[in-house]
Amino acid sequence: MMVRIAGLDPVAEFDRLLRRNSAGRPVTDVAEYESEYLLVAELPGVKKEDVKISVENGTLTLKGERKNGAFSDDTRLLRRETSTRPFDRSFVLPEDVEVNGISAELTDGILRVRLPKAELARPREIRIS
Amino acid sequence: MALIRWNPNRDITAFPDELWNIHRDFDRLFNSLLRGGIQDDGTFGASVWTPAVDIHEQENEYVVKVELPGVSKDDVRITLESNILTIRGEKKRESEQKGENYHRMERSYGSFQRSFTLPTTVKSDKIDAIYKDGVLVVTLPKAEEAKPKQIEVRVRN
Repeated sequence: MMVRIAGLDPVAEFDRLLRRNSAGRPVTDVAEYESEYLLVAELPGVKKEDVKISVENGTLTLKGERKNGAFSDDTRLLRRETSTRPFDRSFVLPEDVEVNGISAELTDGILRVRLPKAELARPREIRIS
Repeated sequence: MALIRWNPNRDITAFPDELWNIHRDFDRLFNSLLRGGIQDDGTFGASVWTPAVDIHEQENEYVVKVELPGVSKDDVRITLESNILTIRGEKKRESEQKGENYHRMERSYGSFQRSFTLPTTVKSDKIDAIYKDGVLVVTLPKAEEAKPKQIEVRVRN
């Protein structure tokens, strides 16, 4: 299921509410700045090498796995609230994103994906000569 | 017609799961609004953020894992008081550049607190905690007297 990064899509939002399941869908903020969009997703306990970010046909997809580490045989689970399910989430990118300039970093369980706007789409002031 | 005991809740329980989920979502939203009202920074509701916790018991220790993505380790406090382990802290909103305009806000922020009663006593001076990849791992070694012991009981005739 895809959601648009910018603008409200009520149908998708309702769909999202219905399917709401934090396990397979990392919570994400998307902010827009003058020269870029910033997508911030929470991926606690996920290693860099276990996340795949891809862009295809204007859609950005975050995929990966949470590996919570193996436990020895004598481990008894007293409480289990975290998920080990793989996650998969897609976002339709706004048209003004410069796909080749997308970069990402993962620190302290927070994935930051920077989506720069194409030069043409940035606001500029035009002087009257 | 078969005689079945009348259950006033039957029709309600036959609701599809999705509707219950929506119900829960709205409940949570209204609860957060009622509890918090309007905050100083203009946002609604008290933060109702509860980090997910796993607790494992091993022969010699308990391991508590808390998902705290984006939380600074200086903002976390771990205390133990008569077998009750409490982890509290605050998840602060990081300030990004100026001129931001949010298209999607799903992350929650604010203070959190979780307490757990440990089944046995632990060596309080040997508790260790590390924060890595957004996960806090607290290791609590069991006290000697709490470790499993085999006691043989003779049965009399």
